[in-house]
Amino acid sequence: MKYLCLLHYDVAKFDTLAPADLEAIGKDCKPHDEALRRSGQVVAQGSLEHRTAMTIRPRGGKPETSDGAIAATVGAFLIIEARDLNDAVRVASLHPAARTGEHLGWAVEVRPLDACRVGGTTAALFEQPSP
Amino acid sequence: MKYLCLAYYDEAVFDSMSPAELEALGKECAPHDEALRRTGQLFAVASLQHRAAVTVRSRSGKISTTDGPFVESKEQVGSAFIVEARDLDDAVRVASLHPAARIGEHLGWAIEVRPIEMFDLPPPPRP
Repeated sequence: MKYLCLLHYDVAKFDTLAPADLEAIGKDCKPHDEALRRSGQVVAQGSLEHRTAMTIRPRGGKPETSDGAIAATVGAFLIIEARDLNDAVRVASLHPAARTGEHLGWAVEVRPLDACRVGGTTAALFEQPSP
Repeated sequence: MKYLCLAYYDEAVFDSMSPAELEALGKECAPHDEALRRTGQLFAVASLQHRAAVTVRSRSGKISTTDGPFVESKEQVGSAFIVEARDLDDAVRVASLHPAARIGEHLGWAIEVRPIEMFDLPPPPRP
């Protein structure tokens, strides 16, 4: 079964970090990133551009677009493969955001997926059976 | 370039819906889902289980696990999809085809479109 992990952070705190702080954080994260990768349970991962977001809401049957995010705290995401929720939490706990970054407001939100298809062409996405 | 689209909904409104209303909603969504699929620009799709979430964080150097989402707000992520697009405008155009951008105003539906800076599909582990 697949799980989506949303990695949250404090956007305002991130803005106050100096390049040296960011470099130090990168070094702190590295062994955790490697442990996570070694689990072999990461299906996909991505990091999002800081502070770039658009929101679309239906208004009178038409999409209305505005600048900015809805939650504004998501900085990265992972899709992991796990036996059950406990196993997913164990894997998510390897991520740097679960191990460090308390002062940066880091946290990992683990969400079970009913259905998930990743990769290939759009057509292939809908042809392959959902695992 | 890839864009992560998070589709939000109001959990409490969803809870109040009858099976007949859910079925009608599914029918209303179908042509929008089809239009989104026809773009050929979807790279991934995922639907999240209703009201199931665990949040993990570091507290005084120890891992703390709590039930529930990161933010206890009425708007929660209900599904996610990744769009392949030329630029942010193109990603917003594609995401605007999704049912959550067209209908469901009374259900608190909305979509957040976020550019993905780095994306990785790690190879499966060797047996």
